[in-house]
Amino acid sequence: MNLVVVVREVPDIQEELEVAADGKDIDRTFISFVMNEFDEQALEEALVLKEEGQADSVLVAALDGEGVDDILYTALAKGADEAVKVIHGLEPPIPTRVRAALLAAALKSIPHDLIFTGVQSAEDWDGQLAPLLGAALDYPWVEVVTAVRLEDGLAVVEKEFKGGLRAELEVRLPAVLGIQAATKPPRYAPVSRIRQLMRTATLKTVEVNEMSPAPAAKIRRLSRPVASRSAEFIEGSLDEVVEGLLSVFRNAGVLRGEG
Amino acid sequence: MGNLVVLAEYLRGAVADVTFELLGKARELGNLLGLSVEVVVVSDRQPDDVTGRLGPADRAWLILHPDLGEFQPEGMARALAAFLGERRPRLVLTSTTAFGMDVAAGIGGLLGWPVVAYCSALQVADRTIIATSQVYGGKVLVEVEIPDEPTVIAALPGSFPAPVGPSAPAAVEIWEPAGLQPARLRLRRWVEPEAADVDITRAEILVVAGRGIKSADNLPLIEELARALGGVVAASRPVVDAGWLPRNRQVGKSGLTVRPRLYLGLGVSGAPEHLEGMKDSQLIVAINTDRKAPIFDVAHYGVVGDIFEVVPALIERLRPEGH
Ligand SMILES: Cc1cc2nc3c(=O)[nH]c(=O)nc-3n(C[C@H](O)[C@H](O)[C@H](O)COP(=O)(O)OP(=O)(O)OC[C@H]3O[C@@H](n4cnc5c(N)ncnc54)[C@H](O)[C@@H]3O)c2cc1C
Repeated sequence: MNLVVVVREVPDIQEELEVAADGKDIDRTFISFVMNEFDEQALEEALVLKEEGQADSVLVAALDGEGVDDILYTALAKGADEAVKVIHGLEPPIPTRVRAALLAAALKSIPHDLIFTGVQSAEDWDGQLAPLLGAALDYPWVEVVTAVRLEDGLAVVEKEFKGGLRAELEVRLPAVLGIQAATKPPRYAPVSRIRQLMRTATLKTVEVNEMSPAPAAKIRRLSRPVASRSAEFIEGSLDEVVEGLLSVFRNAGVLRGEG
Repeated sequence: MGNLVVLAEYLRGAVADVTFELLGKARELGNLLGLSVEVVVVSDRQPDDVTGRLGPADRAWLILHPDLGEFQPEGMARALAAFLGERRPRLVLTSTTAFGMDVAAGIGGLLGWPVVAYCSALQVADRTIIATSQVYGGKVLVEVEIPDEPTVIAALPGSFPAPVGPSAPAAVEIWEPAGLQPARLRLRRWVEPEAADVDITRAEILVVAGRGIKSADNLPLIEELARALGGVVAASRPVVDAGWLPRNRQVGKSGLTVRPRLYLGLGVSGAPEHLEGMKDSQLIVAINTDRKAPIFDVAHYGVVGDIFEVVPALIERLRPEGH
């Protein structure tokens, strides 16, 4: 049983994001890229299945892009058996449907029984990857998966609904799963191990040809959201902040037993 | 150009609230654009009680297939794609719920139609439809022009707050998909949520721990503040996923929807999936080191600061013997 985990880089949303001068994208010059947090969950779930003996191998695959080598070496350091970088020659941002087409082409030369990826990413406004990849490969797909178990020829998955309700679904393989959360928090890879792998391990590459442009809605502009109400900021020294908070609580009638 | 088609979210015998939000929006857009509104339900039997209440659509469709009784996301997407492919509507409206996340991009992928996910606004300017999508954890809005071809919209629940109530659609029709692929996916069972020790939907004061609390070791601090305020501790999803608090304390899209008298967010960024579950709280106060955190876009009061400084000082001041 070969698992493939499709991962991608995304701008680190903890950092300041600026809109580019033309208004059509975020400014990608000075930002740092991290692995999509839901792809980290997907990778963790796959690694756990391998460790439990439910799967034989875990291969990570990513479309080439800024910061992708780091992500792939990190995945190797966490325990993935192989890493493949898909070379494509396109400039970012790459629409998700194009990503799906490129990956579907690359997967032709990568043996796989089950494909994992994150349930969504920070910039997939044009649709989530798992269903698009499933449709491109003609595989079944399930989004919002929080648990995976493998039985012969089947994946038994839990898909999460609001309020903690879950549907247990059985899916014939091959299939694509959009992982929301792994059974346990993603592991850390020691930096020393990542560095060592950067010297010793090699990333395999698969080259795919440019795809015809996907139908897409045209971007007019990006902007910062305008607050639906603008928060009144409580400022000043720590004492002033604390007094300010207390008076807000008091005025709302939620403060009881104040000393 | 085609109509506006709302995909009804019909699960376990009930139609989700978001379906009526989408219908309300579709009605408004339909009036502006002169398009009729249709609603589609997928089922294996004739749920007369449901199709008959999906108003105020001009037309309700029941996609009927013996394999599509139980929740079957891929089969549903394929049946819907077959139906929609024949009709080429102007817009297909669904939402970014557990149901919509399988179906929206699935239909887009199967039919090669554009998709706009996380849609928080839909407007018409000069007969052009403009959709706004909320991305980068809610920090950036992407405004897109819907092209002149059928487009699938997945809206964030709660974005269109003018839901229409159930009423009888003008007409109900049945459509049976021919040659649907045999199911490759099957529902085994529903797993009900675990019973809660504390019901956060009933608490008047919620102190909400986000990933900014950094580790489980800091939970006692948060609990102490909650005690001092007479409230209970709730959490964002990462805190629950990390196993620091049980699932039934989670606020948001996949957690619970809360409307306490006071929501106090500590190190919560305010991602759209979190806001979905708390933005109607009576009083929202947030403490976060990042002034641009989207939580401040819905908060009434904010403190740009470190919770590890503010929270201990607040607890100190709330102690009976403190003064
Ligand atoms: C299908 C789906 C469903 C989801 N459902 C939910 C849901 O139900 N509920 C939910 O919450 N999320 C949900 N999410 C996850 C959501 O996308 C976000 O990842 C999550 O809400 C982020 O949680 P957070 O704000 O605690 O963490 P982060 O986004 O990591 O934010 C941490 C914040 O803490 C601040 N901070 C750091 N240190 C300090 C400090 N010392 N003092 C003050 N502030 C500090 C940072 O500035 C940052 O803003 C869902 C996601 C998906 C895809």
